Amino acid sequence: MTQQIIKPSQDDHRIAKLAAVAIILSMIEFFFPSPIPGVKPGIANIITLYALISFGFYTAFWVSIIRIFISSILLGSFLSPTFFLSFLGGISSLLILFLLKNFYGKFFGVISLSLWASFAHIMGQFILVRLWIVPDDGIYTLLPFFLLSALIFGVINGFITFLLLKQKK
Amino acid sequence: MSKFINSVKLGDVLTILFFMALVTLLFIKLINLPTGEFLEIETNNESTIFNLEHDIQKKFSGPLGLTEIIIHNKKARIKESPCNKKYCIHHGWINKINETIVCIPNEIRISIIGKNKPYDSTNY
Repeated sequence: MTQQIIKPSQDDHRIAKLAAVAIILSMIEFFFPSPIPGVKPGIANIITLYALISFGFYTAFWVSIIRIFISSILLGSFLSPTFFLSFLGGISSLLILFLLKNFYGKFFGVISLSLWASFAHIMGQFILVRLWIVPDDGIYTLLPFFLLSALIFGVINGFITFLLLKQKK
Repeated sequence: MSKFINSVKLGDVLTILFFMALVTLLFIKLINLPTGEFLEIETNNESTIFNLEHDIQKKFSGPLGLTEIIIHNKKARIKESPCNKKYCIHHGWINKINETIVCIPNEIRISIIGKNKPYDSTNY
């Protein structure tokens, strides 16, 4: 009989800790009433951004994916439209972060990464909504409002991430 | 705070300006949407189309009772409705293509359409 021992690496521990914080932030956000339907600040993405800058893309990727799956299971929305929306939003923002991560510190600061990620998040969700959930051109009316919220919360989240990174130093 | 300002890169400023411009442009586009020519009223799974040129004031029956719809000055609105929350009445006037008022309790939907009916994948 072969015995396999899976030894979690230091990376795994770090991912688990960061994902736990991100899940808690998701929960807090879920239970806070949103003044405008469909607009959420997305504070859990602060952790993704923090993980990306401090530990690299690998950590950020897993923190984001684990957060999306676990929080949807905890909230009971796993495999529902809500889950696919947050999954596609998460994937789109990870994709743009992957493309931009090499520019960080040279051309882009935290604010840019946060803004691009939040816009990619909204656009990914919006494409899914247009194709699948509300297949009607009428929803283009909502796009400017969503993008405005992405702009505001992108800057705020970027600033919070900056404060976190500064504290770490 | 001064540390934060020092950390801001050229790309940050450009990104913020780019997205501000994008959002402003979309809002301007939203305000200047083309106005429609016809009003489509959908009740009891039937749709009727009215020309916005002619003023009308008509009642349509739904599960709760009569909903009164008005066309005036190339705009349309719901004037009376038997529903509880009256969201459809508070929506006010509509006159731009794809603008829609829905009264879910009384199962009535009115929307503005242009000269050519846009492709609608929901009804298709």
